[in-house]
Amino acid sequence: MDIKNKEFMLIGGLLVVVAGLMAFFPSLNDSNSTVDWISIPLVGFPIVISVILLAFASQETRSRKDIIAVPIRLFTLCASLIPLAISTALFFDWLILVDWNLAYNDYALEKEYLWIESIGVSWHVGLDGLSFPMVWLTTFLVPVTIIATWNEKDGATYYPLLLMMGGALIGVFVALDLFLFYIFWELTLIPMFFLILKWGGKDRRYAAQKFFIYTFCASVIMLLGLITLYFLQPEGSGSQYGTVTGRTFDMTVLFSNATAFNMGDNVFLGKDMQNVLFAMLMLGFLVKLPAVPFHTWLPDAHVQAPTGGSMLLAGVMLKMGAYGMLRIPIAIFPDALLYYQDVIMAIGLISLVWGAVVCLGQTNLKKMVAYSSVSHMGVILLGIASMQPIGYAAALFMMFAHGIISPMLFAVCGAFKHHYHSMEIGSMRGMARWSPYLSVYMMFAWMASLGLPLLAGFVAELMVLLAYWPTYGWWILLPGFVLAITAAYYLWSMQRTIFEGGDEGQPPESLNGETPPDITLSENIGMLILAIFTVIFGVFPFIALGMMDQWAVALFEGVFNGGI
Amino acid sequence: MNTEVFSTEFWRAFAPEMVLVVGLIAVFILPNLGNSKFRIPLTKVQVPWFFGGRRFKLTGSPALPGMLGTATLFVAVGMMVIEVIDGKMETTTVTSGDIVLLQIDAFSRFFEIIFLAAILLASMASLDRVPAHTFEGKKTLEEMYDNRRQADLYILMLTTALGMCMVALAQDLFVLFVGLELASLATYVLVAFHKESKAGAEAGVKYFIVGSVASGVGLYGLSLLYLEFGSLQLSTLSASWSDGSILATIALGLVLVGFGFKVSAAPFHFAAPDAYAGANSPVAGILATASKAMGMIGLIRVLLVVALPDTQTDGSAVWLYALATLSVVTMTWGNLAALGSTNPKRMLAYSSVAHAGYMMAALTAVGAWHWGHVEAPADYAEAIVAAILFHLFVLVAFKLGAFLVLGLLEMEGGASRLSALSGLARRDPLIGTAMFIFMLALAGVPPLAGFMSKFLIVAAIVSASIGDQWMGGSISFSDLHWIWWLALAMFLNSAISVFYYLRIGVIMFLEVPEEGRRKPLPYGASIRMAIWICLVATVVLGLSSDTLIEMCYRAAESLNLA
Amino acid sequence: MSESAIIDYAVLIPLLPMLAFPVILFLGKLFNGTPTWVKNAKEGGIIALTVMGASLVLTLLVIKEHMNHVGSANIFTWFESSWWNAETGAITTKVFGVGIHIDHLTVMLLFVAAFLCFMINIFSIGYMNTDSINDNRNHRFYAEFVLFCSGMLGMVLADSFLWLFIFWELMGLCSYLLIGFYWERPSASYAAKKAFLTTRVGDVFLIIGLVMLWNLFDGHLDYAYVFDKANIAAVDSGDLQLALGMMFIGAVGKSAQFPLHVWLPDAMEGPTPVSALIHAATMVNAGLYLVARMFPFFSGAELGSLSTLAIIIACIGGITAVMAALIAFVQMDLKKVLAYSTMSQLAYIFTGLGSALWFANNGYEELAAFAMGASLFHLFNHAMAKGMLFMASGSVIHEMHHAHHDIAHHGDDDHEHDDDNFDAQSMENMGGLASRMPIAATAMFFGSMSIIGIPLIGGFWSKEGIISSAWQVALKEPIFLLPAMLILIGAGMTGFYMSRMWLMTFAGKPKTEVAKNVHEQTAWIPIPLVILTFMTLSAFILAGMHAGNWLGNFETGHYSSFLGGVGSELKHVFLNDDPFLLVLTYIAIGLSLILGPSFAMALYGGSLDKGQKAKPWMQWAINLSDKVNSSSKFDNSAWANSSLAEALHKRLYFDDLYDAAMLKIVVGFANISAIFDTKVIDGVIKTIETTSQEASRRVRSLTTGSARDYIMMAALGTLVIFMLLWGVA
Repeated sequence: MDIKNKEFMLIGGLLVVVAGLMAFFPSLNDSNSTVDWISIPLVGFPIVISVILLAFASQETRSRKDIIAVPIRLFTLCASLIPLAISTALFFDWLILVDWNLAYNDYALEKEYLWIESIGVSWHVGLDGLSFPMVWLTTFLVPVTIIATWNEKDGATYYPLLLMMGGALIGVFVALDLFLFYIFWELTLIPMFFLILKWGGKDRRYAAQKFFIYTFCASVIMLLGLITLYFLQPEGSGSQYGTVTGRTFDMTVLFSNATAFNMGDNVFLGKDMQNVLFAMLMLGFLVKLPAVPFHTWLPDAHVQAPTGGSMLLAGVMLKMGAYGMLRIPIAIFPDALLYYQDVIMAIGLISLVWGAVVCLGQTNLKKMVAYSSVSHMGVILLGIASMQPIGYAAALFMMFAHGIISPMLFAVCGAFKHHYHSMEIGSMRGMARWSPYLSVYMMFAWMASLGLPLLAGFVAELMVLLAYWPTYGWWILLPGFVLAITAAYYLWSMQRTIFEGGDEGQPPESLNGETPPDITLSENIGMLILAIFTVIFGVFPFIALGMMDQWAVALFEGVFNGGI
Repeated sequence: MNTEVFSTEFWRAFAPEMVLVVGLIAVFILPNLGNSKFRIPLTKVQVPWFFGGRRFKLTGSPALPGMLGTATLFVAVGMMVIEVIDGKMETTTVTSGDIVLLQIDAFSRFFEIIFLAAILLASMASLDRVPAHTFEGKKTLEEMYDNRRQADLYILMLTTALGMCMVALAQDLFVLFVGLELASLATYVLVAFHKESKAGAEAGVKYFIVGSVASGVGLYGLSLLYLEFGSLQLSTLSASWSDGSILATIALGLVLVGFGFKVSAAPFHFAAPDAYAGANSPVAGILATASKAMGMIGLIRVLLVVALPDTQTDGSAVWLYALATLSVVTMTWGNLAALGSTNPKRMLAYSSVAHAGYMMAALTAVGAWHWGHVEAPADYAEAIVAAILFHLFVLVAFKLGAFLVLGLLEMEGGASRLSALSGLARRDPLIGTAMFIFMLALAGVPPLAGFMSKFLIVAAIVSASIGDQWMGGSISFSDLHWIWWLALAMFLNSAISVFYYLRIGVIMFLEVPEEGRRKPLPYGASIRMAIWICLVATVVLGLSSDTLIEMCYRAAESLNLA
Repeated sequence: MSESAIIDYAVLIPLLPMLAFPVILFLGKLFNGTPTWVKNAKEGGIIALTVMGASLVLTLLVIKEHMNHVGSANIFTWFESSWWNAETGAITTKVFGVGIHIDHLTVMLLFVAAFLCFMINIFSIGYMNTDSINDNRNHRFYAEFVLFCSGMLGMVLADSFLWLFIFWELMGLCSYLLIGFYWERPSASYAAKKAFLTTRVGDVFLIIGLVMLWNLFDGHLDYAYVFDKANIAAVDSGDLQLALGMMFIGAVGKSAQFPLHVWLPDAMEGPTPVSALIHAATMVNAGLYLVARMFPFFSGAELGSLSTLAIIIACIGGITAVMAALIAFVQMDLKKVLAYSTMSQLAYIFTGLGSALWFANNGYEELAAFAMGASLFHLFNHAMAKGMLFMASGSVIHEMHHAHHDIAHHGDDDHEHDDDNFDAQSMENMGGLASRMPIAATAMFFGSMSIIGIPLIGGFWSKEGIISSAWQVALKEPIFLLPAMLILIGAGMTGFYMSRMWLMTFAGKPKTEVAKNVHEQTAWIPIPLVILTFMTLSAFILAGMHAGNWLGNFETGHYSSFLGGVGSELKHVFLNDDPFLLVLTYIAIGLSLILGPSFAMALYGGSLDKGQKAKPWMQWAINLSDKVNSSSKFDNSAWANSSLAEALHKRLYFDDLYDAAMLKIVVGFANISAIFDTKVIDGVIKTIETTSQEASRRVRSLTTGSARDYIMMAALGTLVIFMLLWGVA
């Protein structure tokens, strides 16, 4: 048959699948028969669709792949818009009335289906002020990424991988079961591994393996910590508890147990036991964050990864580490948190300063941006170490804001690479002459990233500083110093790419003579969306902050109730 | 239930094994049926005597032995699964006089299932292709594909199966040893089955020499045990173990060496890589899964059933440190060696060494905790054994699956270099993906079966190291038993192992196919089907492992330790 | 908390320009180059003008309403966050609001900002749109211009230090964009970066100061709370002083005071309207505004607890005043002279504020109010005068440009005229323009007089006030003698360099061919000059109306009718009862009126060409300068070649020092650490990998392939097992 029919059959068949899934998920009701808006629509749907698309595409010859890439891309975009629509609707209570004013260890749209009953694993998902912003961010970034990298080569497999990435990431954020959490945690590695491996730069092989192995090593240690924790909890009876082990992986149960023990006179575990487990969990999260000195996988991964990969990697994947920290160890080991408070602060400070200083020493644009991510992730650690709700809300808002800004940074880098075939800062002058749009976006993204007021990044940094001063006093000069350094490297890089160059400008050698073009329409749209949201959340931070603040308060009331 | 040999219950209980025997005989006879006649002396009368002569069209078909063998195995394993799956099977012991020879229970049946399943897949894979690959200047596959060789192959396979079942069932160490030798000798020949290739023959001989030395040592250990206790009955030994002299310890060490070779534990594993590399892939797969499981039975029987101090006395088992050292050395050695090896089969061999290390670490945990200090110690032992069983079972899925993919590559001329895999994902995306999934499973990436097995093993070790101290007791890190560090060592090792498993994936997805391997893979319907079965099992057993876990626990319980 | 109708609309004052920013940018991108856009819309200039006009009208309404009573309005809650008490576990909510606060200080600065922005907008329509180098990118200029204006207006109206900071940063961004308007010039983009970074250093300290303040006033930065006497009394004044000190560093950066002054002169790379807007009239006043806002703290805190900071502020002012004036002596670039004069005048205001704060903190209400009033009044006068001066100089430069263009290229309109090295800004190319550019000359004439402090004109009133207050402090606080003395000297120096500038530009014979052919021809430009000239002169009236007093007390101050006030003001200045002040006044007048100008005349004076006739109110000065010049045989070549002059040309080596520090130390360290990061931190990881590969090789080398060795190894293993078993058994 000719191409056309086959594409239409593809689209049609997949639409049928979608309809089936959509029809299927209301049937996943539990006793009080509320629709499960998380499992299938947000998590299952993207993953299933992407797997189907990949299976389909894998059966095609090379030449046909390029042809079917077009409908697949379109379809992937539509498919990725569905979760976005749903999560947005959930926020604005369009679908159902969701009460986001949650108490500690209390979740909206909570759903639980028993899974591996013998060891007490259940498919337990739910949303709260910590996870929902991340979920929305993910659902928002996937379509934007698809748009911003509209012309990626070998799209028949590229776009489905992005979709799968999104599904896995959402899975991490909604999981309320440690086992489930870990499964999604590792699952995110695989699409990213392929994104780097197949679409990456020339060192992609090394980068992909390093990325995979480095984070995997850390997370197995985290897993050992989780397992030890699992067996340290009291045996219980109940549907969540394993039939043969008598323990459960259910986070909510663990949290309530831990809180019960911490509130009571007898501490939950011996102090040093807590500290060891806390350290083991934190190791996994710190590597993912990444914090200095565990950060060296990041520059390689980012520099080699394709634009879309970098956008998701920096936008959401790094946040997994911060999310894990805020979700698990703090709730279970508050005493250990107090014990390590200064260590966390030190690591955060080191990441912050070191990342910024190294940025100043970079000549590769994308590498500079990657290190700036390291620097910004340090801010999150400072927020955690501050032991103040405002600090935690700030950490959370930092995750959110950086999740919108850093994809823009990498989109800019990608467009730069795409049109100028070079990543070297100072390999050229006067970009504003040929690529005014790219220059504007670059300047905007840079400014947003250096924490300019009324852009998303500022509020988080301000709040962190506010929470930081009473705890650590004059150490605040270092973050201040970093604010200046950050401005320095960003302005420096702009001066040597966008500006100067006299009336003709100096195009880079890599273009060998031809005049550089401006960014394509799709890149333009993608960056524009990101820019708009950067401004929205910068001017009206309360949109997201209200929820985050409530979560932080709930955490402190739940975990540190009655002071320390 | 207790039966005498050859009583009616005996036949009912041993139906599956009998099926194997019958099938074996059938494979002996049927392919040899021909039109030969027997002339009664001094007369002209010719009685048709069907042995030999020119084969009939049907019996002469090279497909026949394969069909027979596979069918036999399928029936046998099917019967066993049906028997086990509902969990309502009663234990049957076979005694001659007061000697308990064999015992059918959930444990032994489970192992039989593992053996037969592995061999079944292997035989499926070899249905239409022996020897594995062509050789320079030799005949083509089609020419070499003849009825005699097939018959020999399947006879050997079925013999292996029979021997292994015997090992699983044996309640007397001597019977166990006989079964072990039966299976081993068959496998030696299977390894050397490539008479055309120098490597195959050499590997077989090496494997035979080292193996026979090992079993000699093991046999010596058994004899010492007999000298010490006057019996090789498991029940007797375990009852009187605690009042054994140093002789018993020495014997234990010797037996350990014997079985250590079978599970290919360092430093007794050396022959294994050569053997795997030399043998054709399905056979190598059998070695890596079934024959390893056979060794594990031996270890479990000797270490857990026999050589544990009884519940009343305090303190850990005598072999604790020996096994701990052995396990750590084994897993590290295996992973390090696999790290840089450029021959996929050797790499998989080393990885199976590492896996042996993991399982031995789990065994160590059983010997570790202080009996009497823990309430219901048997639970921990069962958890650990169950984890080992689970691991052995799912190993059949993905380890064998990986070998079968290599087998598919062998059909187009060898899979002894990593570069043979290059660009596989482009040449045949589904097979490539399957291989990658097998690799991830071996590496222990969730949510695949490999992750579940590693997870269960570590969980078991950790639970044993914690014992019954729980979080209300505000226990401190120093309260954990040191075997906790075995869990850490195991996880770090599996982290190292990711490196070489991932490399396979990179080669398959990134690199361009080498010269002469541009065209799509040979079809090989049966082997592909086997691969699909493995793939499905790998994924399904990871996602919904509940039934299997329950089965493993039942099997472990039926071992009734303590 | 008086809720009046107009204040609810006050938010539009910054909002309208902010909204105009994207509009202009977008339309500009859309219609760039189309005739309507260029001719009728002036490439966005008209839109900007409309918006600024609206803002100005609103401003005037607000002023009319709030001339005599303070107003404040809360607009919406920006966000809320929570604070946790570690002891009790109690959690309290902290609100970060957005609102408007209007008192006399606001009103004054609001007027200055809105009015000058409007004026400069008119000016730039004349200036920018007639210069071919700006073709097709003026919309960028106007967009950034309005954004800047909204920043300034917002900062003035904000009701909390937080929003003050936010708009403050917004202005910083805009100044970066506007200074780098000619981005293709390396010098411009360098200057822009320098300005942003230098002010950023200050901002870092400012935000740290705000953080400290926030924590001191448990979670409040809004004026309503922090200026409450009770709350101020509650906090430890030592911490308060630290916090305010930090904030002051921010002010230093923004107002280009020593030692963060290096960016201002380079910032003259921007188009002249920008210099007028940012670097004379509005943005540099932000720092002063911040310090002035601190006033209630000083009056509220316990006596003498904050005087150290007050003294530091004054000293910084004094030092900068003299340093800038010195450097201004040798500048040949017209705009650079004005830049340094700006620096020095701002320094005056800082000294004035310093003394006001000192008085306030030591309980002298009236004196404090007087000093405060004088300083703010000087701010007002200086803003008006300096805005005008810059625009006048811009007009001069503009016309010089055109004249040179006509001469060099015979009127053919190709755009190559800025690549040959004729410097239209250098005063060495000017001279004798008084007759050729009467309006600009007049404006500059009165502007300079106002800056110098010629009696009865503009800055005179306020400057006298500042000097006298400084000296009055000095009587009570000896350390204060330093700033007091410095600014007194500075008065004379001001007289010198301002007169020098005017004379070199407008008096004497034209020094180049170009200067001969200059004519005032561009439309739009003269309008603001004329208006501002009258504004400057009208300072006399304002002074009469007790503007000082009114400004001195943000809330309770009153202004009187002109006739009622002028008498007392005049008496207060010229016939002060306090002999000390009387003497001081006349010394100051003598220095600034007699000494400075006469030196300048002696050096640079001279009459115009034959037949050229300046307007009468300037002609006398020219003639006088000619007389002085010819009569005095004063020769300054010794000075001009001295090492001091050299150092002054090099701006006292500050820039070199900073550049060296930045490049050598910081960037050097950064490069080293970048290498360290890859070589060492990542090196560890790489080493692990390589070592494991090596180990793998060794391990595999044990697999020799001969069964003998295998059995040998197995035997070894057996032995080990035995040993381990033996050890246990």
